[in-house]
Amino acid sequence: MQRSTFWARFLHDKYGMIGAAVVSVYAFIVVFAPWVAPHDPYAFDVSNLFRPPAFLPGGTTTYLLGTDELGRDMLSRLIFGMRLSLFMSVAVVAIIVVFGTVVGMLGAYYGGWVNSLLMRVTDIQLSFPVVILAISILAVTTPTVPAIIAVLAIGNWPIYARVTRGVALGEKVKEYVKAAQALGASDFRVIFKYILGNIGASILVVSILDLAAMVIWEAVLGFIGLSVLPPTPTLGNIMGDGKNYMINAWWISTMPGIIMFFLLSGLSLLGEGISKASGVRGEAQVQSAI
Amino acid sequence: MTNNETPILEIVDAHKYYDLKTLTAFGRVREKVKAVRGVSLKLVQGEALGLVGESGCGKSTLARLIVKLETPHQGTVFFRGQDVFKMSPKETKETHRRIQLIFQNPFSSLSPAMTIGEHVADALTIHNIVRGKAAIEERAKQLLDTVGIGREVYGNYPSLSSAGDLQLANIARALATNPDILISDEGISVLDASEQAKILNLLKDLQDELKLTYIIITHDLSVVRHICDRLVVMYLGKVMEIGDNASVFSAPINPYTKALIESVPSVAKGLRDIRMTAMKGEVPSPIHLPPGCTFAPRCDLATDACRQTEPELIEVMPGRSTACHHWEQVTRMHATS
Amino acid sequence: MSNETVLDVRELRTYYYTVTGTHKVVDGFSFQVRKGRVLGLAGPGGSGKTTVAASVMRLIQPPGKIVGGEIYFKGKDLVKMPERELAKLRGSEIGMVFQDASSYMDPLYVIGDQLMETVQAHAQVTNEQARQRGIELLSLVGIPDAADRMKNYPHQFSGGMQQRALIAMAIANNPSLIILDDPTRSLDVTIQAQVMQMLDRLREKTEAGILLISSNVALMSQFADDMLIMFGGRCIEMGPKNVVIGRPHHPHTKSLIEAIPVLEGERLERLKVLVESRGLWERSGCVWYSACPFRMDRCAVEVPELVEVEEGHYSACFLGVGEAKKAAP
Repeated sequence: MQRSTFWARFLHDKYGMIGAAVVSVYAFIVVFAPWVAPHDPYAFDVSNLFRPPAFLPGGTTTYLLGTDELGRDMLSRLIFGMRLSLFMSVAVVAIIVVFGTVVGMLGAYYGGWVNSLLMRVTDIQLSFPVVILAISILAVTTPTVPAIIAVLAIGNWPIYARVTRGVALGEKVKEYVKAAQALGASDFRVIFKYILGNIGASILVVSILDLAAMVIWEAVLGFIGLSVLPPTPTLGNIMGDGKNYMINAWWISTMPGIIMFFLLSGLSLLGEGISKASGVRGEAQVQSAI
Repeated sequence: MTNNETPILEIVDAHKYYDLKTLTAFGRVREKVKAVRGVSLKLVQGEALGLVGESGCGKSTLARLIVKLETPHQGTVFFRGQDVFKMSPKETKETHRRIQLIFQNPFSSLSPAMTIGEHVADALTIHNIVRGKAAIEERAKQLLDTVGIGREVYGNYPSLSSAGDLQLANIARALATNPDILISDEGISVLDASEQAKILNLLKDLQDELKLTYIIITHDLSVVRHICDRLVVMYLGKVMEIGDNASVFSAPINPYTKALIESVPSVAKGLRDIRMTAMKGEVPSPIHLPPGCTFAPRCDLATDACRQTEPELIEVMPGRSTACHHWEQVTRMHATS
Repeated sequence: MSNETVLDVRELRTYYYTVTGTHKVVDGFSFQVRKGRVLGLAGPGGSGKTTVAASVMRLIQPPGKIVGGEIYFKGKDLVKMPERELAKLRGSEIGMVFQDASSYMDPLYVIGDQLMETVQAHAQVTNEQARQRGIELLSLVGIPDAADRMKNYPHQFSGGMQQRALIAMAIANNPSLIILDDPTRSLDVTIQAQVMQMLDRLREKTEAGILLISSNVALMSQFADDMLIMFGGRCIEMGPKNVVIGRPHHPHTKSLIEAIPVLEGERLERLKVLVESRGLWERSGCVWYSACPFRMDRCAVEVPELVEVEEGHYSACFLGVGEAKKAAP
């Protein structure tokens, strides 16, 4: 669709813009973390253990969101935690998008054994919860960043491939694909230029929502202690860390949750805004209605 | 057409069936849709052949066989003397370059995610017609100018253009590969009168200039009247009549052709307050064909012989063939016009 | 012979409000359909014909809106009528047949049920009576073995038969007005001939006023009594068929007639090309200005009103009758 039409629609979509704004703020904070964070996330402050957030009685403005059991600044830890969580999530999504899309499209276009193999693999992985897989792998090895990324990627790519396959199948039977084939285009070209070009928007939207899902996954892993080991902060392991102190320092576990809530809402709104703006409505409909 | 010339395209006894699984009272039954039932045709370089028939006659399937989007169950297609279905991948690609197909629906034959310019440019890239980004873009814009849509639409996405303009874009894309044969599969009859006229004039102009050979597939006789030299009339997978434009229109030798001609609405008739006349009956399903001549149930000249034996396509006069047991009687019937 | 006017449309204006601007699709359109007569509404794609039909039936959806004019059906203004009353008219007093039959029938119900539903929605009849009426209707529109066919699903009908079934539904309750919007567009030419032949017989039997909308002028010339040529949302010529087609006044109508490819006669070297209608909505003055070989300065700024160039024959052009005759090629 016309680029200008997409932007015209997107910029007028109130909710989409809010989502974009929220995500941009997060992106900014994450990228400029070392300059935005007020303190060193690893620095202890023994005289300020369990400080509540500034807006509660007992809080100080030095530590805006309070401190944890080792006196470390929550705000800084959260900023760096978000940075790592998002980094891992983006990495996972990147892997599954590339891998899943390619496999999905090949399966859709060629059918045959590629397709059957894909179906069987996804069936297996759909019936085998990722969490169990994660636990079994991470319990045995040290949960490093690459390991977690690998686990989440392996656990999630089949569904992705299957969805892509479905969408690609829908495109494959359309006439423009036949026209490209009759033109003499190679299979590679038909798949990666013609079909991919048309499902790209859907893939983008799904990726954004998947990103949100991966952030949640990391949080879950962190909560049960299978994410990156402390002292390196991630949203998940901060939450996991704080579960021991829910009564006297509830903010340690709750803050990551609130941060995630806004991030995920922003991602959702953004994803939906893109999806609505790239839909086929408006001008074309008027023409055909007449 | 001289007999010594090798036709640029020859279809020999092509048969194509489609399997259809339908649910009946007896469970799933495999039925055969007989799309093309033994079609043989010769195409001479430089001519404009009109392939006429109504839906279900197999003309689109035939087009797809020619460009290798489908494979025949029997028979084959020769391009420049070579069997298309025995070609190597490289030769196949070259054949794709030389025989271009323009589809019926101008919207759906273009990818909504690519601009019109990108489509034409891609054709140039696939066959290495031009190299270098700038050269490709310029050539694509030239082609858009040539077909009359104008280079301004280069950056537009298909959704913004009308059907007629998009069909012109499709033609631009087809011409980009410097083809020998251009096949239009119902791509013209779906347009408005003005868009049709534009395209038909364009095709006529281009034919001499670019030494093109055309196969115009349509159900609309008025489209072929002014552009085609020779006509082939099809009905339910078989050829009913072949002949030159003038003869077929003035003196058809097949009752189906005659009925087809008479079904076309005409202003001349309207001014004389002549109401529409029509032949009787529905088109039989291509799965369960009537015995003998498939047109017999609807034909005024049908006899028992017609219902028993399907007539062969015979050349009854030089350059004129028909598949009818009673073809002489057709010429004696006068059309009301 | 004075025929009762069934439909009287006055200065209809339907606009579409989109992100890119306001499209004045129908812009001041007036016509009448008389009892027992067929009015053919011709115009190229994009001229607003379907919008006219949809407006009459008040089926315009946003971003479109009827912004002005009156539509009198048997004396009552449909524009001001409440939806509930309109719903009673649709399908009973006014029957409408659309272009693509298959999209207007429910694929999950047999034809018989859909016919019976149409009948029973507007009349208190028993199921058996409705069924008999259904069979009667299918036979009327030329579908053989009507009783058996009642049990078929729409997909089991061919395109031509689907269209006929739709026509059967439209006439089920003896409407006073039948609107046909390009009913044969998607049909093969021989099937089109069959459907038109059937419609011809129908119109001899019924006394309904018929509005036939199409871009196929040749088709209309064999079916309509009166013709109306539409371009750019406005009516540019109107009159009895023989006059409009035989002695067209407006330059656009002339070029329209000339551009019709004919099977009889000589083959043409070049076909005449018409100007497209889309995108002309914003201009002032005559909609045909840019393409007209006879244009004058006033045509660019003034909108020509319909004037009577001879009895019963109207044309929206500043060329006087004498000048028009002179200008004829």
